[in-house]
This record gives sequence, structure tokens and C-alpha cells, in this order.
Amino acid sequence: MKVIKRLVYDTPLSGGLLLLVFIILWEVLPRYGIVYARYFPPFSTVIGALFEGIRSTEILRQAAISISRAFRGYFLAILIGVTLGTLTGTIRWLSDLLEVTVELLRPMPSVALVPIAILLFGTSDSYNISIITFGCTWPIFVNTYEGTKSIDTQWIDTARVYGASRLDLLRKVVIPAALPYIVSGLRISLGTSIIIVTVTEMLASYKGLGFFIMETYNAYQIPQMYAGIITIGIVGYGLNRLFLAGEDRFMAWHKGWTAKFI
Amino acid sequence: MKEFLSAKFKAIFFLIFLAFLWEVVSRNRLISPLYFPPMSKNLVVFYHLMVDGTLPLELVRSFGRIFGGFFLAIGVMVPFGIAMGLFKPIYNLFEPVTELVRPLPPPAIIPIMMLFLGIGEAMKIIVIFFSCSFPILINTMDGVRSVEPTLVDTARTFGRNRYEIILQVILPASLHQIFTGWRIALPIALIVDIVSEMVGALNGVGRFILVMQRSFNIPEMYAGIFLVALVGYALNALLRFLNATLIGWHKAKFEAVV
Amino acid sequence: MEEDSTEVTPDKISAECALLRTEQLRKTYTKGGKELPACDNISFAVNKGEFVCIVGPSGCGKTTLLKCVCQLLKPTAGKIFIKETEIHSPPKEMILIFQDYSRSLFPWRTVLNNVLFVLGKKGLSKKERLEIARSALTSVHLNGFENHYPWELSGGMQQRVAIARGIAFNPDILLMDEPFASVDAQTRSDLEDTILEIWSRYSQTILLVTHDIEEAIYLADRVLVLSRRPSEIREEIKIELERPRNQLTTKEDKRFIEYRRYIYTLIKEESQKCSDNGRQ
Repeated sequence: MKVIKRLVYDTPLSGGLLLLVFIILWEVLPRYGIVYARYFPPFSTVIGALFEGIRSTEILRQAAISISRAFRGYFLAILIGVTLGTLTGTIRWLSDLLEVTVELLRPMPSVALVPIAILLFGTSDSYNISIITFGCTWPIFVNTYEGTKSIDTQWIDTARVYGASRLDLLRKVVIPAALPYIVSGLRISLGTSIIIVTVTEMLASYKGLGFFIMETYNAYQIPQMYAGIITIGIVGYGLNRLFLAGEDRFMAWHKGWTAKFI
Repeated sequence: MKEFLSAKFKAIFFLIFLAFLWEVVSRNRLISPLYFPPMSKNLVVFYHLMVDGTLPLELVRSFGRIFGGFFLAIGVMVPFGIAMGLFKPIYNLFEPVTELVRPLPPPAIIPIMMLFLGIGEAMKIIVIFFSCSFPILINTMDGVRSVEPTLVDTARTFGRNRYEIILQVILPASLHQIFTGWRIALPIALIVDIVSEMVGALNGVGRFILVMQRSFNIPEMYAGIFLVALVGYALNALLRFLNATLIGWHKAKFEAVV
Repeated sequence: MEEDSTEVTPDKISAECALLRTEQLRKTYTKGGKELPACDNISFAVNKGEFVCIVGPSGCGKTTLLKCVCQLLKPTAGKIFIKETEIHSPPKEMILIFQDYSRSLFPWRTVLNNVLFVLGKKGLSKKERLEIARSALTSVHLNGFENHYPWELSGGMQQRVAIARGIAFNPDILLMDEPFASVDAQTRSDLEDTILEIWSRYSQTILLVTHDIEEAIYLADRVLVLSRRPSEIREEIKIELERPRNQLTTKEDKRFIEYRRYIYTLIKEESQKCSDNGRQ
């Protein structure tokens, strides 16, 4: 009795069981026609399509295209976002100047700019990358800005007392201190890049996972469509996990430091 | 105050300057005026479309879906999040499933919903509901779980029972974080609505922009884009205002400590 | 009073008078399979109207002890009696005032509303509740600050609000967990005197935990000295100083200095054992 109580309270066993139930329902309901099987193929069929897609490398190729586009946009966003963020964070008149413009552009859904990008770039990779860059710059920019602004002036004073130059200050005090915020922005933008690349591909691309989903949808290849959707989820999840692992490794000092305040 | 005003002036001036730059560059054909008509033209078209009701109508349609999905997500996920945050067994039950579903980008769900629901209102509301759910759920959960234990102990020592503690202590204490979830979710609702409209819709601002682009009515396209930018800005400002007034005590407290 | 293991200084107090009594209280934390004992075999009694202080080496489990006594934590073993009735959940006769006032006052409520909160379940009319709350705030000299929010007040004032809550609730027994640890020395002396003032006016029974030996002697009728972790009661000392106490004269009294030396030596020994053993 006590063992059961412990299992329920301390382990995700019940959740795992629930998951199993859902998967079983997914398999059984379409097979028995309770749910329309054309729109909701059985779990095994979908998994079959997924493996087939991997075996024939189709899904892998499309995924590679999407990831490549996402990363290019992401890195461009990092470049712009960190630079702009550090500059506005340290130079007061600059942040004043840009404030209203930023506030107008930042909440703008990147998707709304898709038509402009189509006009300019057609359906090339640049179309995708431009929108990704726009969408991913903001979280990085805002976080970098917050990070540079929130630096404890005592740290700066300490460094200056020991004779640090302006560049030194930037490299050795400002950026490490702002790093936690920046990293947080980087993490958010990573997820955003995957979402935006999917959207842009769904709307006007001829390659990539987003395109793959729409193509299979239009061709009524529904199991393949689900397989593609699951692949996107896996890609997003995998990238996020990789990022967190990297964060653990490099940002360990921050975790320890913030933990002291809790 | 004076400093604040001068800062704002600088910012607005800069924006006007950018618009002016656009105008000049476009008129002098330094950029293709086909893709970037002069700003003056765009603004005139924008004004007309707002005044004759075309854009406002599309906006209302979009808003219906955005707020529909948003409030649905709040109605379902806030109680759910509170339950998951407070009761470990419930958390253990649902956490694996939610963790598995969470990495799915909302736009990827759109084709599935289109299969079942076509391109009507229901499809979009469900997709928006789905995309708003996770920020709201997670923030609600986190808010409830990070309530200061001493506050709860205080209520216990003064004789409050379980339900009173939830109502009188845990909810007020976690309100800030719950609201943060809403603040994150509303812009997501806007974005996902526009996306779903562009993929397949009969009306709405997103669809309007795409249709204008396809029929090469470029100034009209920009008009739609401007509207979206304004809406995004207005929603953001609204949320910040609500945050300050309703949860003002939290911010002031934080500042007092810091 | 049944004391098995520790010495008892003069005055044996019979069980019948004891308002609060613990019997072989033990609390062991289990973390990931390992056992971390906090207190062991704590038995003591407190009489009606007494002011008892508990002191001990750092980290010996004083807070744990208090939390167990008022049942905010479930003891691993042992019993707690109020008026000879065993208690199993936070009793209405007893409340605990926490060390960290910033975490125990509700930040979304004004000072007055924080005090009113504790009166919510007493079945009083709104008028009565307001009266009680206001008079409690007046006893701690905070009557001008009703509509302020806790974070607008200084540390000492916040702790006074916490104390005002205790007064308003008017329990038979007041437990206090290092209530003056988080304020500066000046404020601390003021608060000590405020507590004595309130105690003499309302005649509650008070059990106060502190790490400050002088404070303990200054305030108490009796001082309980805890051993190192897992803490037991090392010794009980009756404080024979006259009341009302005075920050200057009492602390210059020869007996005060002797008590202080004695207790300090005890605690030093206990801490020594602690570090001799390597880990806590």
C-alpha cells in the first residue's frame, strides 16, 4: 500500500501509464472506425510512415533543409541582436532614439512580413532566412539589452578601480555579466527559429519540413503528414535539449550563484 | 519628466525620420517602387481602408478568433495549472503527456485541424487554443509552486484549512506569474491567428495581407501590415498597463527589495 | 514535569500546571534515503504565563523544534500536549511568529489587512475585528501605518506587524522563531522591550528561540539550552532577575553576567563537539 502511494506521489509512473493509454487509443480507435481513419491513421501506420521516411532519407533531407535555414537565420539574429542589445544597453541616447521604433516592430508577428519577403526573394532560402532573422532578433535583442542594463554598477566600479579600459570593461565585465540574460534570449529564439522556418515553408517553399507537411496534406498522404509533424516536434525538442545541455556545461556558475538567492 | 518627454520626442522623431527616408528612397527609385511604394502612398491607402471599414472588418474577424482561443485557453488551463501545481499526483499524471506535446510547433498542427475542421472559425480557434495553452499552463503551474512556503505556514498557524489557504494565500501570491503566462500567450495568439489565416481562411487581416500581395495591390498589402504592427503594439501596451495596475504591488515590492 | 535525561535546576514544576508540554520529541529528516536527525528526545514543559527562551549552537535544529511543537512539521516521534491534551495539527491556542517577516507578511495586503487576516475565523463582527486589529497595531506603536504595504516599512516595523498579528489573535501560547535576528541591534533592543511590555500586559505564555544569549537571559524566566545536533535539552536554567527588566541596569547586574558566562560556556562546548566530529 505504501509502495503504491510512493509510486504515485514520487514517480511519473501514473503519467507514463496515461501516455500508454493514449497511444493504445490512438491505435485502436481508428482501426475500429470510431475515429475516421483517413484523417487519423492508427499509431502504427504513422510510425511506419515515419520510419519509411527516415529509411528513404526523404524526411531526413527535408529536416536538414529546414534546420539549415533555421540556423542561418538564428545566427544572423544573434549577430544583430547581441550587437544592438549591447549598444543600446550601454549608450543611453541610442536606446532613447530607437525606443518607439523598437516597440512598434517588436510585437509585430514576423509572419505578417511574409508577403514582403515573397516579393523580394521569391521562394529561395533567403525568403525563409529573412523572416527567421526578423523574428529571432527580438528576444535576443531585448534580453541582451536587459542584461547589459542590469549590471551591478559595483562590478563596473571594481573593475575600473583596478584600471580596466573601456574595451576591457566590455569584454571582461559587461558581457560575462549579461551572459545569463543573453543565453535566456538565445534559448527562446532557438525555438522561435524552428517555428518560423516551419511557417514560412508551409506558406511558400518547395523544400523543407513545412513544405513536406503541406504537400502530403494536399496529396492526401495523411500518415506521411503526421510523420512530418512528429519530426518537427522531435527536431524542436532535440535542439532544445542540446541547448540546455550546453547551458549546463557553460553556465554552471550562474546556476550556483542564483541558487544562493533562493 | 522633462527628460522623459525629450526621450520620447527623440524616439518619435526617429520613427518619422525612417518614414521620411523610405519616402525619399522610394521616390528616387533607389529601391524598386514596385515593392516599396512611397510611404506617403501607403499611408493614404491605409487611411482610406481604415475609414471605409475594410480593414476594421477584417480586424474584428481576426479578433474574434484570437480572443476566443485565448480565453478558452485561460478557462481551461488556469484551473488545470493550479491543480497540477498544487497536487503532486495530478502533476505526475499529466506531466509526461504535456511534456511530449509541448515541443510541437502550433503551426504544424494547422493541417491536422484543417482535415477535421476545414478552414473555418473552429479550426483557427482550436489552433490558437492549443498554442496559448502551454505558456498559460506552465506559468500558472510555476506560479503556484513557487509560492513562498512561509506564507502558507503563516496561514496554517493562524488556523486556515486547505481550501482557505488556496483561495486566500496561494492564488493572490501566484497571480503575478499567472498573469505573466497571459502576457506571453496573447501575442502568440495574434501570431498563430495570422499564420492560420495565411494557410487557409475566408477572412481576417492575415489573409487580407496575403491576398493583396498575390493580386499585386502592394500599398494595400502594406496597409494591412501597418495595421498588424499597430495591433501588436496596442496589445502589448494594454497588457503592460494591466500588469502595472492590477499587480502593481508586486512590482513595487520587488523594487523595494532590490 | 517528567524529565528523564537532563538536569533540573531547583523548582520542579508539577505536570498539572504545565500549559504546554512535550514528551520525547524527535524529528528526523530523510533526504534521498539518508537520515538527518534534527532533534532527539526533547522533553520540557512551559507553565501558564511563563516566558521561556531556547538557545543553542548554530544549526542545532531550533527552528525545527518550534515547527514541530506547533505541528507545522510532523514530528517523527514524541508527543505534544496542550493542557494535557495531545495535539496533532496546528492548534488554535498556539501560533508561531516566523523569523523572516518579509516572507510571512502578505505583500498584497496592507498592514491593517494583514492583521485583520488572522481574525478572519474568530466569528467576530467587522467592527470588533477592526477594533482588535487597531489596538494590536497600537501596542506595537504602528498605529499610523495601517494603510501602508509591508514592503514600504523598515525591517523592524515589519516584524512588529508580525507581532501585532500575534497579539490580535491572542493565543494562549506564542512561539517565536528568532524574531529579532533579521533586524539591527538598536531595533532589536526596542523590540525586546516591546515584547516584554506586551507580555506583561496580555500575560501570554511565550516560548522564544534565539541564538543571542544575552537576549535570552534578558527576556526569560527560564532558559533551555540545547545541545548540538541532534539536539537534546542540555540544561535548564532559571533566571532569577527581577522584573521589570531594563536594557542598562539588568545587563550590568552581576548575576546577568554570570548567567551569560555559564550559558556561553555550555554552548561553546556543544559547538566544539560539533566541529570535533567533523560533520553536523
